[in-house]
Amino acid sequence: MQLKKRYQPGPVSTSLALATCALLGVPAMAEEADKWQVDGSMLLYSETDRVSAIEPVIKASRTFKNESKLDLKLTVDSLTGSSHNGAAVTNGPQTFTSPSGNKVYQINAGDVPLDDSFLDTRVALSGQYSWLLNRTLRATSGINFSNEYDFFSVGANAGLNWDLNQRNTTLSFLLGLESDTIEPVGGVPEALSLQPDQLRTDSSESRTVTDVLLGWTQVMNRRWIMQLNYNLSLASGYMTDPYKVVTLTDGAGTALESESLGGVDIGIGDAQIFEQRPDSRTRHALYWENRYSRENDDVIAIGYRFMTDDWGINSHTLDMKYRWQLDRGWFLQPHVRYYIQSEADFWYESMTAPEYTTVLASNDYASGDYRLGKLTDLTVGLKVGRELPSGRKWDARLEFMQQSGDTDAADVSAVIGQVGYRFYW
Amino acid sequence: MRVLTLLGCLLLVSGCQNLGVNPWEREVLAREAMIPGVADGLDDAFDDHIYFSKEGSSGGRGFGGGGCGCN
Repeated sequence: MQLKKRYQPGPVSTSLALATCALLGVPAMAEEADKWQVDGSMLLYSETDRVSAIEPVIKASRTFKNESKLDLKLTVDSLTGSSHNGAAVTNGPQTFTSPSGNKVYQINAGDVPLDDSFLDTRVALSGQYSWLLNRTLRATSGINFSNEYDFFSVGANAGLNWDLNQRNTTLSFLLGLESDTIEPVGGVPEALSLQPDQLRTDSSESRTVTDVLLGWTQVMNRRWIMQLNYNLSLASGYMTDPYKVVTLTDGAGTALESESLGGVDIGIGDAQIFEQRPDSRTRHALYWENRYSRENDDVIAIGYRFMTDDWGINSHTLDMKYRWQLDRGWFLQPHVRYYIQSEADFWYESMTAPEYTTVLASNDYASGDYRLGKLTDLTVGLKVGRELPSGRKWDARLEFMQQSGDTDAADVSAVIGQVGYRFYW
Repeated sequence: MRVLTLLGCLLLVSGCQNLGVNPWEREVLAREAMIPGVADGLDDAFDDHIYFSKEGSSGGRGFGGGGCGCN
């Protein structure tokens, strides 16, 4: 079954997607050269008893007659619900302040401490342009902005894709710079201080992230293509989550009292300290993707990623899809994703008073964020779609994700639903 | 070190010369479903954003978290 050839790269991964297109010698079809390809998609994400999100995205892409390409993308991300505040599940009730510090809330014994004031809307804009420097060399450059109530990010990237061996090999180089500004509700908390004291150091913080990505895309044979990427990421600045705390306990599962440590008393079990993470992070990620088309046009896609960083987190991700190609453009695509990570060196489920004294004295790092602890995630899902003869296309997917770790806070179940439609304009 | 890296790249590129296909043999490979980063459309960006905000890892396929304060 011969299908139409279409481009649909993503904003940051655009350069590699373009590299692959160039590698395959996919020509811009005449009808595409005169029209915008518009992809609209809506994501619905819902966790049991926690966060829900609605995320509409619209993306417009155009290939010009000189083979240069432009991608524009608008994302709106609306979140609401409850989020784990970093504290441990304890034997007795606990008391916390809201992010602004103006309100107090209690969590019952045995319950996962969730802050139910989580509400935000993110708007992100990005543009990516690529053009041919010569027959085998393509340059790409892009910018992106993202804004939320307490966070602003601006980024830029530039790169080169070089075709070799009759376009059977493409080597890619991509450099990205990002600058983030964080303005926490209520101000920046003083790290490692007791939450009831509400000590604030400043109104905002910032960080920068530099990314380098080296890619090798290789046609193996008529049915098999492979991509191998190495990504180095260097982050510097404020990496702490200003809304997360670590619970101080007696070592037997009961939260201590703030006043017993010289702090303000706001209620029972209120010895919670603001977390502190390192002000730099170096990540190395190796990503390997293989795509193989069977004789009947079904496609097997297997991706594997290994990531390691200087916070002590190592992770393995395995992602498998099987595209079952049916008649008249219909397809079904089962998906399985498995993820496992080790904990960061400074992750604590909870901390005792002597541990706190030691960490405080050495201004060391501490976080109870379950996302930095041991994690095992499993996602299974199914996508169905149809490519129409006119080049239009629609698809829908439904997936279920289950997270688990060493604490109850890590037990998260989520449903992911998405519908998408493509047309030419 | 630089010499070794250069040597490695040369070996890699020369090794790749035995792989690949002729221009007229790309019909299957040119299908959108066979193109990394393109095959799954916007799904990749959605997934990268979801998992970036729920896990301690990111990057590899592309980079960055899409400018998000969620992690």
